[in-house]
Amino acid sequence: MSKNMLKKTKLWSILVGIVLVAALVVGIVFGFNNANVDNRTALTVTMDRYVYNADLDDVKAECENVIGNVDYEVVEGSMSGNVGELVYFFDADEVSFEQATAMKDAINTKFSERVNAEDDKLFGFEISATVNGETLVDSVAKGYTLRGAIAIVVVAVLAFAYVAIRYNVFKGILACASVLLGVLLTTAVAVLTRIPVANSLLYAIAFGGLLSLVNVVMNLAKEKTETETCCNVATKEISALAICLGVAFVLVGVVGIITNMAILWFALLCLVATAVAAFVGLIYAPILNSPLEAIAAEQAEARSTDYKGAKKTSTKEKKVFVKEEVKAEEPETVEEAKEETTESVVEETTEEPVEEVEEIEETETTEETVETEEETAEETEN
Amino acid sequence: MGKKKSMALMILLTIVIVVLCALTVFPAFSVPKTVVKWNPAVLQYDLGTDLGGSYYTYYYPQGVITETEYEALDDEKKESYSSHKGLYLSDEDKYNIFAGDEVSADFTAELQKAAKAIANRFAECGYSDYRVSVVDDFAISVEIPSSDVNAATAMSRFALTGEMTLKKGGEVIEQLKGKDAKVTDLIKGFSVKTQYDVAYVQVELTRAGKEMIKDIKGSLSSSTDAQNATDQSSVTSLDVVVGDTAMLQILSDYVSSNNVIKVPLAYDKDKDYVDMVAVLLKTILNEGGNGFDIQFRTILDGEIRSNKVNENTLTAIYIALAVVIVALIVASIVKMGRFGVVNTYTTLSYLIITGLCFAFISKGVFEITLGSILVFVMGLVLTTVLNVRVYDAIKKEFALGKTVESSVKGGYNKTLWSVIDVYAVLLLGALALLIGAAGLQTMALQALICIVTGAFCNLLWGRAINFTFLSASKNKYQYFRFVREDDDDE
Repeated sequence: MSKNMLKKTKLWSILVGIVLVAALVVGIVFGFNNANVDNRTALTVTMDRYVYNADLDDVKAECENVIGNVDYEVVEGSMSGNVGELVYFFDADEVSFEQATAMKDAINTKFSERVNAEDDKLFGFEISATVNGETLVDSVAKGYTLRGAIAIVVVAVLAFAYVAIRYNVFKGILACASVLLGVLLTTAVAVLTRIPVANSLLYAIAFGGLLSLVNVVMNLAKEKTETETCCNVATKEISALAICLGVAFVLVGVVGIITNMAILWFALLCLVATAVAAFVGLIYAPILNSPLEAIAAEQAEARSTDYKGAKKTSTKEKKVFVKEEVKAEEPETVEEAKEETTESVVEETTEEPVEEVEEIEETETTEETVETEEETAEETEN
Repeated sequence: MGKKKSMALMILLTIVIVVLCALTVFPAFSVPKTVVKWNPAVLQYDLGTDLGGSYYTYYYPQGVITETEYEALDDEKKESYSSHKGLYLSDEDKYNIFAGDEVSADFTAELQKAAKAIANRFAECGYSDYRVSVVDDFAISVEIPSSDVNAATAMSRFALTGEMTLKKGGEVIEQLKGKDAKVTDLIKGFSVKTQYDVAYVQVELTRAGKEMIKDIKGSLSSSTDAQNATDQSSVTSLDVVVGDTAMLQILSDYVSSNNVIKVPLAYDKDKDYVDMVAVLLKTILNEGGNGFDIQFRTILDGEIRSNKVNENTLTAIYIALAVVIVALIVASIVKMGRFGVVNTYTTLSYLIITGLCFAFISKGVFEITLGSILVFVMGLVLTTVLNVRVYDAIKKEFALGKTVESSVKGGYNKTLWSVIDVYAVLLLGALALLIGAAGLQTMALQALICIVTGAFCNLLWGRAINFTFLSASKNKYQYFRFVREDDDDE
């Protein structure tokens, strides 16, 4: 592996490491920015069915006038009986029970005036507000997060197994790493950017892992089929995938802005997952591929030198092979080339000349011996 | 294939795809002069909380009332209530809420226990999303997706309290009369099975339980006797009772010759209800059969609220997805010429198959959530991107000087394994994600549908359509927007 590639691998790995560590620290200190609040204060405005059906917007406007500039989630609760209700949920840390009680009193006063005013369209109807505090007990199946994590690990293992069978073990490691990286980076970016998260975060995380895997598999396929080109990155396909998915999620996000903020946060998480997958496919996986390929090449070389026939050769003969390898490596710069040749020359000169001569002679002898053995093997077959 | 045959097939294909598209996505309308309303497949989904809203209700223990109910009481009755945050608690002895001037620790502990037990019951139902909260320390609120047709029954049944026991003819059976006797000594579990269009709860007995049923079954009435009886008190059955409510009525013909109990409860189409009963019984059994010692007020249907998410949300999402589909189709036609038309047909086929599968497979099995939209979009975009890859491979083959047919064959062959690899890893990934719970498992099931559909469209269907269209094409070069070097020279 060249020094430049080694530098790139180190640089990107450090960057990824920094992002993951920073996310870990932020996650431990602040946790996720939960969209679903555990402790809520609920302000419920109950009204007659007719008012719920005909004048709901008017009632909402009055309530929101009282509530003011506070974050809330509103639920329109329709019941089969004679009443309907509006429920305003606040984060209990932002709006205390006492503050909500003050809002309730103001709303009750306002509507009391209106239902008693003969010229008001709400005259004669019943509208009242109450306040409650809620503490979450459970919102997902037990072990949702743990089972999700196990599922993702199993995805990584299966990816390794499939790619290792189709290509080789090192490509399998790359595939496994891509899944885990996609998942970890998506989670890390979600934590760092403080995007409000809900139970749907696991969808985006799983998506990030799967899409990273798809991008890496496309790279591997390209590398296998297009051997004549040097490039082993399916840039076009990965970019097209990322752009098309990005546009789709932006449109979904726009829907979220208009209708339901939970959809906007989800779309943002999916955009993050798409960007992470594109990064893994286009930049990090090809860089990670290089050291793995180098290890694969070394192992292949070690397997070839472990060949039984080679054991008969003398150590002196091995030195000859080493010399050939040094010459075979393409130096990146002229200076490096000079250094290498200088190095090889140094190696040669350090050897005892007498031994050199002997080496050559022995090499020839060994080769002859090998040939002779081959001839004898042929003879015995005949 | 001859040109005429190809043209005929093309026309037939186009008609079929247009009809199926209409079936899948054509907007709803009322048929004139009838009361019938046309609904496309995409409006028949069971929706999760994010897209379809939810049902929610409150469980108030006996002796606990809301502020609205308190205001409606007369002054004399108001004196027996004390306020606690937004609720009012009765100090009458029969409710066992107060111990002296303070709320009793036992009552508080039982309510917490009840909240966890109720949460377990809803968790076991496998909803993609739900919420159970304690309200003002002494009430419970529950929210489940509005796609559950049995929401009202589930909400009222899951508040059942009390010990689980077995009664025959209204009396607790001998085997459970001992001090240390527990129902778990006789019953080890409940499961739901279907047979001959009937859904039933199978009661799994322990060895002692099998001995018990062997002794009792002879004295039980048959289902025919029970149906024909004018006075139900004359019917002898073995009942699985929770508190004061008989959940299962076991008659003699529900016990097989090898002492296996199968209690039919509903037809297969109402299996949801049977699942709900089994979940309730299973969770109570897992708690040791003891339940929790707090009585909740009966929840009336009118007390179950329906929270409809902004009605335009689903429409807006469909419009966004339609824009994505149109953009993909236009981009592919611009880039690939008539091969882009093949991609159009492939894309619409993907839409039809997934849309119909979600409608007809998902009913009662899983809900459509934000995760569903995610996997649908992923499959949709992947189908187009892989078609573009095939087109590029065909173009490269053509650039080597091969004929169009040879280039098409070569292009498909060269990209075959890369397409298989992509879908294979996605399939394995989706299968692994089935390990996840709730919404993740739902998403994995839907991903399987999208992946298999995408693989079919890319590997088989797209090729077949391309073969048909290419056979019908007058100018094969123009079909792919290829330019021969000879033409350039001219």
